[in-house]
Amino acid sequence: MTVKIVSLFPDVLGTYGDHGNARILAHLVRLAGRTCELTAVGINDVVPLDGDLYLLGGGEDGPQALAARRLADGSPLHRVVERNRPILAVCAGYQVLGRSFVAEGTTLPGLGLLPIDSVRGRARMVGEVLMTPFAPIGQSLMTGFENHGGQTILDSDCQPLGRVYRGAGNGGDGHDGIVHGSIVGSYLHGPILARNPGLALWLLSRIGVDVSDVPAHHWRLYEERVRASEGALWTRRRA
Amino acid sequence: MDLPLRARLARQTARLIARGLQVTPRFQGETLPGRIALRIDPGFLSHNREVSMLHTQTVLVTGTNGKTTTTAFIRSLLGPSVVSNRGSNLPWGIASALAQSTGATPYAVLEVDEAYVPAVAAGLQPAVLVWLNMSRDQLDRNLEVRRLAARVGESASSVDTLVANASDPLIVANSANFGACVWVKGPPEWEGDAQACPRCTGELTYAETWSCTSCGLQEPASDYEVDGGGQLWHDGVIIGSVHPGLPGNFNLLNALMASVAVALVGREPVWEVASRLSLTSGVEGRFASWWLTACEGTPTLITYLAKNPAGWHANLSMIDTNESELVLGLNARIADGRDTSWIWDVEFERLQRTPTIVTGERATDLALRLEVAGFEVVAVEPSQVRAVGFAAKRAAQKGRNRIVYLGNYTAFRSLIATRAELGAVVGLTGEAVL
Repeated sequence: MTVKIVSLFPDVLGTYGDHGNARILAHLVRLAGRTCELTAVGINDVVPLDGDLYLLGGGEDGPQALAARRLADGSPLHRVVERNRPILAVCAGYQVLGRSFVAEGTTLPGLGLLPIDSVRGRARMVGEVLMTPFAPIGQSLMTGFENHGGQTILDSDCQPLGRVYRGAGNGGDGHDGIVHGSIVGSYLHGPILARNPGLALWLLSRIGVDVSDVPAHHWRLYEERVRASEGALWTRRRA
Repeated sequence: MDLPLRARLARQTARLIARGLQVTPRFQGETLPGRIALRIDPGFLSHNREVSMLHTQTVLVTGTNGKTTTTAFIRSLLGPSVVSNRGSNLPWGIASALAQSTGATPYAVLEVDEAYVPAVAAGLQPAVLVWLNMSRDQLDRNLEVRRLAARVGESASSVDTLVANASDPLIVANSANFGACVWVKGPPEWEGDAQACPRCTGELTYAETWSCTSCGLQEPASDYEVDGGGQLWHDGVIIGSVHPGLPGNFNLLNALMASVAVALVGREPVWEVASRLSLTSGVEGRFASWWLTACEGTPTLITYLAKNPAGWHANLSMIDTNESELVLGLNARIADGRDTSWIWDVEFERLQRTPTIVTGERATDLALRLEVAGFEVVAVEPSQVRAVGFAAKRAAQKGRNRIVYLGNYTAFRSLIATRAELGAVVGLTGEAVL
């Protein structure tokens, strides 16, 4: 059966190469011998409800606010969550799924799918991130590149995506991202699935796509980036 | 009247340092004199304008891609006495160029980083601002593209005439406050970053021209247009032709915009200026071709520089890869942007899938990107010299004699700096190999 991957609004939330996550997933699905339909949904298009896996990326304040309004209209992602389909949301897209976020100085309502609030951070957080994931994604470490001004606060009983050793992640709690039901949120670009193939495979396993034979060189970028950052593991951990 | 004392001191110190830098190893040679001049006199740019540049007409060139080449076009049209910078486009690079100028010059042409256009324009009050294009570039140290475009628009009150690209919605959306605009259009190019209306984020529709279905923002009628064949159009009539001497549709547009700017400051007809234009080589190795005398078969290496998705796509689209080996180089130093994720915004999927050698400090990132796009990655070789050497070997095996290299900023610069290891001597110009 065809696997349908839906990349939401790469025209406005595609400023940081995050559409690459969709390309990687489609590539892996095809490696698994399945057919894949990759749909890039524009900001003025209707969001399809029959996708298997949804992706949201990063972008600027104005487009982020617009994306939130579009996704509030008819609540397509609420229905995706009801169907227990995975959503990977990065940066601005991650914030949009929460209860509230700040764009252009104004606090705006998010979709309320994640128990998080995003506020303006003290300084922009830009640079390499190294962390240890909590989810069983088959990687002991994760890397990525963050570039955001917002800080995200999780409710106390939430499960972050990982513990940060280098970089800021959510910005205040020493963690990055969230794993909440079928939603994975993170601040990591890179794109995150190019640099962390384990996370890509884990997401695909949740929709019944088994990619047991990922070519070994897919892991080279992960290994190279971890090596470039691993010194951070031995320095004092951030508060 | 002479420069105020402080500005004079700034200038003399900068010159002294520049002279010192000529005899010492090149370290920040293009920016250090200007940095110090601006430290001594923060108003150095406007002091220059008020006194020594009183009769100088200034052209500023900005935009994401093509600044250095377009500035070179304008320089070649205005003759040798023009004050100009070569690639170093932050205020201190501009101050360095001004400090070096002697006596009154009729023209200054300066490329300016987008983020500094309002500050530099306020200081120099240019006759013309050439605004080439806007797309994403080095987001880790720059503003995002929409905010950057708005910032360029803030320079409106300091500029006499804007010469700008009518095809770029981000430019048009931020051009309302300029007193006079000359709109220029080139052959169709990348539109990836501007699919939603930059003013209202409504839907942009593209036909012959673009327009927004919600707020009505639309492409202005172009005053001058160049088509893919180099013909120059005005009011629906062919009035001449453009011969940039460098490859690529984007260079046709760059050349036309340069011609329009020169026509404005020199009060000449655009077609006449355009007919004079021809650059026989690019700047600092851009579009250059080299004979690799240390490699088997002495193949020709053609070197392209591009720094962001739009630039890579434009360069890769024009390269005929059927008869050549392709080498792509990627670094991620500060000048490149530390974040390599932009390579996922290069539409490799729409390009011809050519077997490719990847190189540079971030070759592994490129290898995965290309594999996902369906390319065959022939080799992942972080050393650029070895990668080109390997390409030469492959070319010899296949009876080819051409290698095409495209790299981002520091990758490109380091290959050019180490070209002696390949025995590279300057070969034909970009135009001659096409």
